[in-house]
Amino acid sequence: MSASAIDPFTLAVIHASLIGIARDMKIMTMRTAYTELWKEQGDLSCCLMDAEGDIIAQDPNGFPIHVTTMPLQLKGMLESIGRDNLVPGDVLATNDPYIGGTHLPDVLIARPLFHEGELYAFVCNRGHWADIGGMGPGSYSPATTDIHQEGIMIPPVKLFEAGRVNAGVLAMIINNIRNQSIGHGDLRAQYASCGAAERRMAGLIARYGLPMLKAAMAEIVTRAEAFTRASLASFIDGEYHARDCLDGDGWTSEQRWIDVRITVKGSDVTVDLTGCDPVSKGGMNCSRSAALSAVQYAIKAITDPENPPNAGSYKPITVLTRPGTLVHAEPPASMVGFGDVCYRVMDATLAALAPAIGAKAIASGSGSTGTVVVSGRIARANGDKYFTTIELSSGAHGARSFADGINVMRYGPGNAGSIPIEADELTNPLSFECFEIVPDTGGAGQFRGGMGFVRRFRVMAEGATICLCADRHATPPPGLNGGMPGRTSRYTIDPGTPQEQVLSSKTPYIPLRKGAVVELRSAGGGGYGDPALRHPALIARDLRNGYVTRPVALAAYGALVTPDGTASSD
Amino acid sequence: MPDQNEKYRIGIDVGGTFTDVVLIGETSGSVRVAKLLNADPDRSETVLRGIRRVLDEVGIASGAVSTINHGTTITTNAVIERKGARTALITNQGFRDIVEIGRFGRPPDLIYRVHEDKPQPFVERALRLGVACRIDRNGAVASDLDEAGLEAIIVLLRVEAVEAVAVCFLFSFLNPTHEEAVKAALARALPNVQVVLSSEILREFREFPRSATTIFAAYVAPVLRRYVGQLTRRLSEAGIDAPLRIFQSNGGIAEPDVLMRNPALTLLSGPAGAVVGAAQLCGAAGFHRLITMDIGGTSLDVCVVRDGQFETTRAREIDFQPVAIPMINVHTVGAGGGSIVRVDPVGRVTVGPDSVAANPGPACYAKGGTTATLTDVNMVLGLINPASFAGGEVSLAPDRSLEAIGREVATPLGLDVVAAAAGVYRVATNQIAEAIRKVTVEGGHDPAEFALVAFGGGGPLHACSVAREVGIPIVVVPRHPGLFSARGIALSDFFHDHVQSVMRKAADLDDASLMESFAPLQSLATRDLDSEGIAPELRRIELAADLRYVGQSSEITVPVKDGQGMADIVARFHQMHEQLYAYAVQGEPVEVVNVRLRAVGMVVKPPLTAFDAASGDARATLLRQIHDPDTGRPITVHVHDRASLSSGAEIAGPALVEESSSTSVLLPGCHGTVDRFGNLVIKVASA
Repeated sequence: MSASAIDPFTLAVIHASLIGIARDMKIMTMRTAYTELWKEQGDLSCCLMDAEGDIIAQDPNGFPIHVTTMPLQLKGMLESIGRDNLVPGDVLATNDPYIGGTHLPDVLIARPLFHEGELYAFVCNRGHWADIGGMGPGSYSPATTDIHQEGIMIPPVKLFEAGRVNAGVLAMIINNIRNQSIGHGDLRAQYASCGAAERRMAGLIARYGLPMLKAAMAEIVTRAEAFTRASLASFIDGEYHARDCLDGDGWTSEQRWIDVRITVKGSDVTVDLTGCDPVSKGGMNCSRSAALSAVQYAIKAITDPENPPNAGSYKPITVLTRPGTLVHAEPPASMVGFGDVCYRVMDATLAALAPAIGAKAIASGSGSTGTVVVSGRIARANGDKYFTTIELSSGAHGARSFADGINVMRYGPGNAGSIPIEADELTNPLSFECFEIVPDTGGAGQFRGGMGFVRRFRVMAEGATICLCADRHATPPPGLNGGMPGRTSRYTIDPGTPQEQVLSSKTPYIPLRKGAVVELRSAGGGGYGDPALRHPALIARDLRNGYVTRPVALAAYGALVTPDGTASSD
Repeated sequence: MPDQNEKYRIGIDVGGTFTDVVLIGETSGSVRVAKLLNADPDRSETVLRGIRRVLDEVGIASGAVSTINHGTTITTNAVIERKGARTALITNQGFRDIVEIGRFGRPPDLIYRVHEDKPQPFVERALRLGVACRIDRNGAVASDLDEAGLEAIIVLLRVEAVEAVAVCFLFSFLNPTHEEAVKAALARALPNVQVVLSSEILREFREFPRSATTIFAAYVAPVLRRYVGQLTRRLSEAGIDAPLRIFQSNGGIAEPDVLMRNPALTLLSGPAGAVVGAAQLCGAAGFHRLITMDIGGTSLDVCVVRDGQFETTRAREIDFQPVAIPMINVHTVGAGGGSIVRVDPVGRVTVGPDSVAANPGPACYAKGGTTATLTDVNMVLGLINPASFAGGEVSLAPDRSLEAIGREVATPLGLDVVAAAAGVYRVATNQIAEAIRKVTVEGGHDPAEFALVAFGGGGPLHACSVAREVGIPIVVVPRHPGLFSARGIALSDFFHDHVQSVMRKAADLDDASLMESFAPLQSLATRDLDSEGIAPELRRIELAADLRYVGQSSEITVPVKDGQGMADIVARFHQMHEQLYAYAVQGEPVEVVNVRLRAVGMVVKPPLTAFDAASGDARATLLRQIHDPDTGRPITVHVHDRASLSSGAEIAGPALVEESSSTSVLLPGCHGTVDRFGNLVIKVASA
């Protein structure tokens, strides 16, 4: 059946059904997983791919970075295992970032689906495991210099073969991680969801037949591409350039540069990242697939934010990378900091495109995953010997051309949430003192950047360690079109005391004495437009609500205003 | 002439457009209804008129009324329109932004929409005030309440003319002393300000949902108090002194005084009345596993009911702020009669999620609207009778539907208008089916074990098609679906829900200490039921515990039956985990997160009246040509007037059954029977 033979209504029905299948996978996984990151923060994503490994449908709240990196990793897995070696009932697994992944904690589970002997689709589930072994709990040290220090590398393997668990492989994985019962529970949640998806796909085939289903899958991609192209056609043709940097490579404080050259021509966009710095010694690197994902997210948000994404949304985008650069890392480079590299690729992409997209332009946000891992030993009822908590410490949006940036909210290709304070304290030996907005952190402008926050806690355990894999502590998130940059991030142990210790945003595992106070401050978002153009009513609202303090308002806007919005000179 | 000794219950459902009033005889089960347009800006005026009308029509004195049960959307509207009280929030110092930060991750709708804004919290930052004090994770006082700091806050609250204050401190569910001290100080200094403590309304961990819920309670408290005061006054002026009870989103009623402790219990109660009504009516007719499907003008509401028990949720949100109280789990999606039908520039067809306003409405209303809607689709297919829509009150213009569907769907796709309409019908069917799949997947249910109860103007139009899609074998279109909600409200039991976070390993809890943890909840239950004057023999206490494997972070609520100990409860937990998630791990450590109690004050239900003689001649069906919604092919069907169908009547599909509020579509192969209560029960042929 040719793609054009499918009627638009059957297409709509199958499309919605496929998205529903991916949604159901995520619901099932979230509900059955053990890890806080998944259950409270939803740090996992599900999608459905065609036989070639291209995305057809994803769960509606999938993390872009998880989903858009899946195709390359799946394709790499197929190359390694051999498509002809797949049989019904197989479940494949890998976390190999070089073939197209992100970093080792993100484990991809894929189940090939067959109908009468024909492999017609894959259902995939990728979650960020709380631990994957390696140098320290949480597997997040930026100082890892090669991949082996990050944790266990799972090459493409069959976790299940024809429906039978590969017990040796499973044991090998589980024995190499901390908190084994949690890891095992999460893995089980991942593959159980694939089984449920397979049953529903079989239902669709029974209803429509495989030729119709395949035609619909192809057409879903074709239409998304056409829609994206129509939107891209409104961009101003030209060549655009932007550079932005990371504060250090995870090993030294040497700045690492992302260089983005973009050509917009008609409905095609070429994003050239070949001018990026060479690979970093520490973990501030990412795979080509992760860099691709960051570019794709940025462009999706400004071309077609309304429709569910699939492979077609990205077909008009060509991304050029050079092997050996920090956006195209090769073995054995560490990629533990891939998330922050992706943030910078996205920021620079949006900055470069700003002149091409008019009112859709947006200033940079807080620009980091803000990953902070606090861990140590603790006795638990189920026999686990470690506690590990990931405290996220970066979240503020850049200003838009028509509105302020949103305060304290994740932006960009990841979307993990924070752990509730009470859940955190009940689970981990931490005692929180503060989780609040920090005034003045958003850059001034006609529209100001979103405000960052502070999360401060005392560590109540012996022998704990902290590790940071974050950014923007030296270089602030830039403003746009005259807007001021946001304030930088700041990470401190025992702030305001004689033993105060300011940490670099990339800090490998260092010990924390019992009773130490850790303070994490997020960067703020960049501002948009000349601060002199800011409406007095907005200045007054910010003053009243303490988003901006009086001295800073005076410095940034030249005049203070009374709450009724009139200017005042005091 | 009515029986002089008969007592009557009144149920009132105030919706967006209409107020329904139902009068039910307590022993006879007789029913009288009034439907009034919400013309008066003062809703209590409309309510009073409705009560008067039913009393006059039946010819009984106001003294014969035993209770007035009232469902109201006044608090929901106050929240949605942001017209609640001027509210402040008092938190621990350092945590004033919990409700602005929320979950920190973006709501799914905002992941790609970088140009959208997140709605502001219900308390602006200037009125979110921190005071130094802290309870630790064990419930011990880690630092005392800063009295001087509280004094400064009180001064500010006065200057700001705040009407309501929500207080939420960390771990107050373990130790409420600081919250209680704040309440005492505020009561002394600001006696007219409503103060709501999180420890009074939600003794459950996770500070964001608890704070947001406490704010909602404070925000709507003055609104509800004013409304109840007004209505009570009017009723007493009219000489009606029956007690007034308010319907809650958990499906039960409460005395206003009890409810005022947590007015957030009324939020989102709108769709709950119909679910309660459906469960009562269908339960009496022998259907105990139901999926309700209520399609109105703008939305579809879906809910699962098993053995008279509504599924509950504690995960609803308004503007991304949680309303973390147990409420009937009604899943709402934007698919209603007014949902807008579109074809995008690349030929993709969508239905909703946005809809046209009630005025001018769908194109066929011919009130100036030209937007193509789902109602227009049904019109083009011939499923709606233009002459008798909404009891003939709105006369419809089929040509406007043809024109709108032609312009918006058929022309862009190069199809004829009927094929286009039939296609959109399928798309809508699938969309409704997906909503039902979502609730069944979340609950781990098999749709084949359920009956689909369809009501609302659009429910019966799509039900057979949806049932076939999802694999539900039976559709029930109840008699008088328009009364559902008010009738359900009139006959609701009293419900009071209480929770206490426990957070203990199951292995560390013996049976005695488990029962001990229920004790404080028992005394709250007794307090509530006492003040409502519920007789001891009508009281029922339902216990439950939220369990999870150690390390998990969401819980399963396990019912705790009389005489059950920890071992039984843990065994049941494993079983339920298996059912919901397809696996259980025997031997894995389990923890008890919360204990829950529902206090029920049972109401003696009048008999469900059997359906008596139908009016009119059942054989006098009309023949009409419509288009099979599956294929678009013209077919001739029998059109039955529902009022003329007696119990036992059989209808073979394809057929239409018309009544004033809707039309039931029986697809080819479906077979309908009218049961002895007047419900239309349709066996759905599988696809």
